[in-house]
Amino acid sequence: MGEIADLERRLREFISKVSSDFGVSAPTIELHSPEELEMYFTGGSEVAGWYSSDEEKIILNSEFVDLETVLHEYAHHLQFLRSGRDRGAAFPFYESTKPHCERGFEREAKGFALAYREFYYNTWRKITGRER
Amino acid sequence: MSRSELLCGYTASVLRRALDNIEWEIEKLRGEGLAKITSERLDEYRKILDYFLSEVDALVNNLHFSCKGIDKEELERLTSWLKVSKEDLKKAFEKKDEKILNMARVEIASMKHHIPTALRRTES
Repeated sequence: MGEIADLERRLREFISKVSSDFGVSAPTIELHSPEELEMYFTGGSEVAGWYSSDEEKIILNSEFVDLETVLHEYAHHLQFLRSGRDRGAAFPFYESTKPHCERGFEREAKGFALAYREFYYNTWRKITGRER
Repeated sequence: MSRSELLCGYTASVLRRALDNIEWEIEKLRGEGLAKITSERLDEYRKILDYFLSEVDALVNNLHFSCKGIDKEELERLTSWLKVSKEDLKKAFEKKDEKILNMARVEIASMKHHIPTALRRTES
């Protein structure tokens, strides 16, 4: 198994555990190299991760995988589920016109990652073998 | 204790800590005097409070996931306290109004007292 495929498998296991704690369905998770991400959109190679609500999928940049990014994207999954899978309600368009850090759903996702990184640190390290 | 019970307990303690931090920052701000504070210093407070408030947002908004069987009415009460205190904080900063700032502090304190009631399990 390649390095990326192995990490992807470990991340799935981690996300599945988190989802079991929160009592929700787990999003799928995919790792892509910066070059692959650049093909999705311009500047994609510099993005650490994003959540696709259409596919309920977390997409991560293989160069920037860390616990905080994974929890941040997972928070968007919870926001989407909380809205009853209504993308417009979870991620309002008017918010998208604001700078990234001023969007309500982004601030909340940042807060989520900060709040839960301590709780999930040991599980993360055990499953992924990563310190961060 | 199951993992989900651990998660709920952890959520409650982090929420309490974040609310404590907000209350503490508001007290400090009141001590410095909202009316005479410089705009740079006010911006520093705004940033710190925004940081703690984004944590509170995330925790309260996901309480029904992280704490199964949470009392729904109490959860709604917590959510509305949060909304009111955020609005009051914003108003207090805009108008440099100490009275509104104190109201926000009281609302934050009320949220803290509501946490244990909200977490009282409705499931057996």
